[in-house]
Amino acid sequence: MVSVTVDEAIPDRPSFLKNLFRFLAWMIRTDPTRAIVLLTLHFTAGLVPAAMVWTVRGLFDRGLDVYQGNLAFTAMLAWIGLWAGLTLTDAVIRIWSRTVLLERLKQEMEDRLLEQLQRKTRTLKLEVFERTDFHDVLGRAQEAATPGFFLNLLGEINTVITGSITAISVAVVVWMWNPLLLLALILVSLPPPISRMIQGKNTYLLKREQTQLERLRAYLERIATSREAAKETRVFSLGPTILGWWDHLYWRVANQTYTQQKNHLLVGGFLSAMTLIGLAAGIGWSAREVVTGGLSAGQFAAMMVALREVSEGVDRVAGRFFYLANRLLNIADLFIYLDLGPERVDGGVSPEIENSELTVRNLSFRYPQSERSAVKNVTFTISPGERVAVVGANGSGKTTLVKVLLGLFEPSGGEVRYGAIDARELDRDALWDQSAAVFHDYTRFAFTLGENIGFGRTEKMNLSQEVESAARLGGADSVAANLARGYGTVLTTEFDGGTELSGGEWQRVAISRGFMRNAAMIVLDEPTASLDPRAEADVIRRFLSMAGGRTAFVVSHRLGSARFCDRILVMREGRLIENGTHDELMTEKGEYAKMWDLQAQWYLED
Amino acid sequence: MATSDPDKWDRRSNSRAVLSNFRWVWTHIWKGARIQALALILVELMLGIQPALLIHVVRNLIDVVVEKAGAGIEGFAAILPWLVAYGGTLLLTNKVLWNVRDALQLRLEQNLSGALGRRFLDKSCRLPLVFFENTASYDRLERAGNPGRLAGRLFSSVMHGFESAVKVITVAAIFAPVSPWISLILLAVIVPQIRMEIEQSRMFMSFTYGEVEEQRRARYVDRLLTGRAEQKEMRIFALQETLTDRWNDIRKALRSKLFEQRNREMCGALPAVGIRIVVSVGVAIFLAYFLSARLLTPGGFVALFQGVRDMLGAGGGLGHSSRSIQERSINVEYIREFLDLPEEEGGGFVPGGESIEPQRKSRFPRPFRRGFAVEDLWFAYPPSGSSELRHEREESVLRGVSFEIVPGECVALVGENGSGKSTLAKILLGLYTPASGRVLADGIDFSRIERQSLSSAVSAAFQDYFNFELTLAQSIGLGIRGEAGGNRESELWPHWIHPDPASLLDAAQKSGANEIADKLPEGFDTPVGHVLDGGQGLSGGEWQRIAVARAFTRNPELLILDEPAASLDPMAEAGLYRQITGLLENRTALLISHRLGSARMADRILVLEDGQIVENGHHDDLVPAGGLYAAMWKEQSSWYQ
Repeated sequence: MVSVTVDEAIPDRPSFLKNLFRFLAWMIRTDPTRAIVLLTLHFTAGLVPAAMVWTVRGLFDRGLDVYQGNLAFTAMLAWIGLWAGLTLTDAVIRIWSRTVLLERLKQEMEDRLLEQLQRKTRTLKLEVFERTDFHDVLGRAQEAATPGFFLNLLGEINTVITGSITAISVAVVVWMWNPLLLLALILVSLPPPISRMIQGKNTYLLKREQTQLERLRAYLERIATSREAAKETRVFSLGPTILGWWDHLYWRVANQTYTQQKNHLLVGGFLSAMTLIGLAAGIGWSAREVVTGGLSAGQFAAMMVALREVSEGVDRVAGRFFYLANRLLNIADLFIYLDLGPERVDGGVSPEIENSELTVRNLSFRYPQSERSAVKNVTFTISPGERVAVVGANGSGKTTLVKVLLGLFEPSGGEVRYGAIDARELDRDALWDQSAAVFHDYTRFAFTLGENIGFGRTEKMNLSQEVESAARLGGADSVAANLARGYGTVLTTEFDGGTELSGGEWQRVAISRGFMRNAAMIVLDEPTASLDPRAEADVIRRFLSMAGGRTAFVVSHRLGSARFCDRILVMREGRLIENGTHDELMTEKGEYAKMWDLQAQWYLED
Repeated sequence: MATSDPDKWDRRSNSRAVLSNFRWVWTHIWKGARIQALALILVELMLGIQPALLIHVVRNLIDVVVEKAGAGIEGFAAILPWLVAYGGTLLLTNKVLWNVRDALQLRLEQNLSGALGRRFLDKSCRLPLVFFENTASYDRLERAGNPGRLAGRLFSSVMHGFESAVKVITVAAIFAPVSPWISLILLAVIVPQIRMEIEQSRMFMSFTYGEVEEQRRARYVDRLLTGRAEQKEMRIFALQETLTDRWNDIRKALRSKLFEQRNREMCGALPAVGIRIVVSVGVAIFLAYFLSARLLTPGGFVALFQGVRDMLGAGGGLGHSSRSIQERSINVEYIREFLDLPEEEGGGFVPGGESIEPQRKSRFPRPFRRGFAVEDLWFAYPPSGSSELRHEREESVLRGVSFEIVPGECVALVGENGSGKSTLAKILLGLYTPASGRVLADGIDFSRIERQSLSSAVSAAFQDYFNFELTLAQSIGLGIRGEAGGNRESELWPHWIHPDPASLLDAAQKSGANEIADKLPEGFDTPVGHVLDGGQGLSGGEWQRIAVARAFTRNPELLILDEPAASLDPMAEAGLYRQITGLLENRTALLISHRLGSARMADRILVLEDGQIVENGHHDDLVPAGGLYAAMWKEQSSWYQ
């Protein structure tokens, strides 16, 4: 396993063959019996056309005898039977392997893959997710997990294996009759792959050139058809502009593509001429051999079948090969993701948050692949049960700081202590068991209201008393009262029968989720961003009135909420510049006082 | 994009519907891709004849070879012409014609996409805003996407069917002289083949309908477990185990269903295979018999033996074609449904094709003298599926709203979330039509004003503004044709697309967007966002300033700002509001904001509660009045006292 550190670039994709073999090895490991049966079947199916060629030859030689009156027509029945048997075998193999066998194998592989992806996500350090290229890597890996992917991939492997075996076996049969015929066969087989290779390369180059054009065209379509842009499109009468521009782009791309297609026609025509030569040579030579007695008429007939089989087969393989290569790129990305690191390494010590002081000394944190630190040399101490406000401008490092305190990120420098226990020694799961967070982008689960709240403490999720009590604390009880099915209402319109809540209602649900956890440390990150004044005031009041010795952090740039906290931490550009109560900071007349005056100016009586 | 409903499948797949849809596609093809279509028909005809032609050639070739076997090299001369015929037939029809067909099909689809695609986008731009906000109707838009390609596919399916039909008829005709019975049997076998394909299709469709929902659920849970944004909560709330269990349950149920389905498919496919083999063997035996009776030459035997395979293959092709024709016909029907959607006028939908709004004759009155008047406005959103689930959701969002705005006034609109503020703004922008009541500008009803004229007179910066990820100039001024600014025609830009930066500068300065330009490498011509190569990322605050600049570019008579400082932190917010007071000096403006501090600067404040205006006056009058505004004011300002 290549363990990539948080900062390193992601390695390049390995070669095609390496990918193919790694994939096949993985396939066999996942479900050995079925994989091997499938591969054997492909192999066998690949041999059928060669057998067919042999059978046609025998059938025809026999037929000639029958025609010349040497034998009764019943002599042919055995050969017809053989031919029927081969056709039946081929058909059964194809159907069986394409449906039942393939389905099971595909399911196994999909499940196994998704499990591995999920496990990987669980164990990766969260910092890795902040990499700018991470999104792409995960996205490509997930493409491999879409339903059709493995089905198509296995189908293409099928075609390539079977097609290759066919070509080789038929070539062997023909070679046994007359080596020179083999030459004709090769000449017939070459043009398709060459043609596809040339086409493929040209298409790839053209596509690269057109990428920006296509992206822009698709973007214009999005503007014209999406919900998000619908208002502006109408208010600013953008329709005619968008359409005119779209036309311009569309026809540019279309004409370029068409011109290329016409060029391919010419290339294809030229290569077809080559095939014609090969074919004519092959059949001509066979005919010559027949008239001079070197080949039987049966062999001649069989040869014609052979040429057709091989030519079509090779063309098919060449085509599928291309798709296969593309799909294996996705597989490569998948393996890259599964090899990604670093993974979490947890210490074993459980903290006791409830009565512990939180000590932070010279804490720094830097996001992966970024040059400047988001948090620089921060030092402070929080006593248990304090209400702490973390304030500052956008981008000052407030959210990053609390994420480090929550143990989601590891410090790049300095230390964080929970009581006597250093963050590096602690058992993160235990820390998380004792903390709760309501993030700015909390998840809106497409499950019931009760579950959305209950997820705060999954062990108690099914105890309706607990859920309702959390809802009362967080304000979601009024949301439930407004819904016909109460806590059983399915939320979001992701699935049929669900209902959407307003921003304010969701906020209460998220806060109730936080309360459900009944944690010793709770963090609220910008909890009032989209709320109207009364809702905002409600949230702040609930926050301030939380009972017991809970340590609570609220991150906000609305200073009104900071005022009644026990402590205010003021961040700027990653540094902690002020630390104190509201009154202390106002007396200092520093940054906080300035921000306060800016916000308060509108509300003061003249 | 398969049909999602088995009943719809039955209803829509009858032959009359298919015929009607094909006729529709044909009209468009005739208009825009006539030559390609006719050429394609010719090509398919030739491809259809190929098997029969090949049988004829092969038969003669083999016979002549058998005749000349062992006759020495002189015999070769007799073989040569048939050799050439064989090579030519095979090559021409397989290699060359396929390439030609691909090129023709491409051009046909391109032409169709150009025409239908444009119509699709045009339609989308003309539909009323409520359409986009209703999930059910919006689905129709999504189903009709990529109309040119779908229409082209229907045509190509029909062409394949045509090709298969020609094959079937010509090959059957070749068998006829040998034995009419064989011809008839081969033709008869096709019918069950087609029927079986259609049955398979129906089974597949009804299965897909049920399976899709479950698969979506499984994928949803998987997304939660592997998504980036969800990871923080997954860890803190230790949700992985619960969700993994859920995922496993869904997958297990799905697996057995899928497996059953495949079993059924397999069993469904076997009879077809059985028939083919039985028929092939039967015909082969007959041919052997004819051979022995010298009614058939050896060449004839080989050729016709292969011919059976061709015939059955073509029969399968016909079955396959009928299936895909039905499926694609349904797609075309979705497209037609979408394009036939009425464009709005009045309080509801009325049928319309091209945009005919004859009553919109007036222009927006400029110079603007008396102001805006809103009289007893009522508005309700069209019902959506989830409305039954809510007890208290009122039917109407606006219930009898009346007020006036005098030119030069800055009016603040405040109220709780859901009180109807944004809705009212959209009506003033002409985006919604009231259910009853009217909006007047200098006494002229909005519904009588030409849309273009109205949109240039009333402008807005929305709370959920859209980021136009083009160049900075275009992001601010898209839609303003820049005759002066652009002679930079290129692949990417038609020459008229660049708005003239000079004309934008004014608007940009008002909102502070010019500062953004100063920081960017190419100033206003710099691409922003991620769509164009070399696009620069901007912060939320910067995008917001662009949205505000955009509103100013039209020099509107009414400027609406909906939460213009939502993405800004206190310092930037203070800065913006300071600027705005100056900017709105001589302008008629409507300011929607939660921050009552900004409302205080307005000339007048309208307080909206549950769709009605409950207070209307200046801050200094409303606070002592002790109503809703005073309560909200006290609430907010108490934090700062």
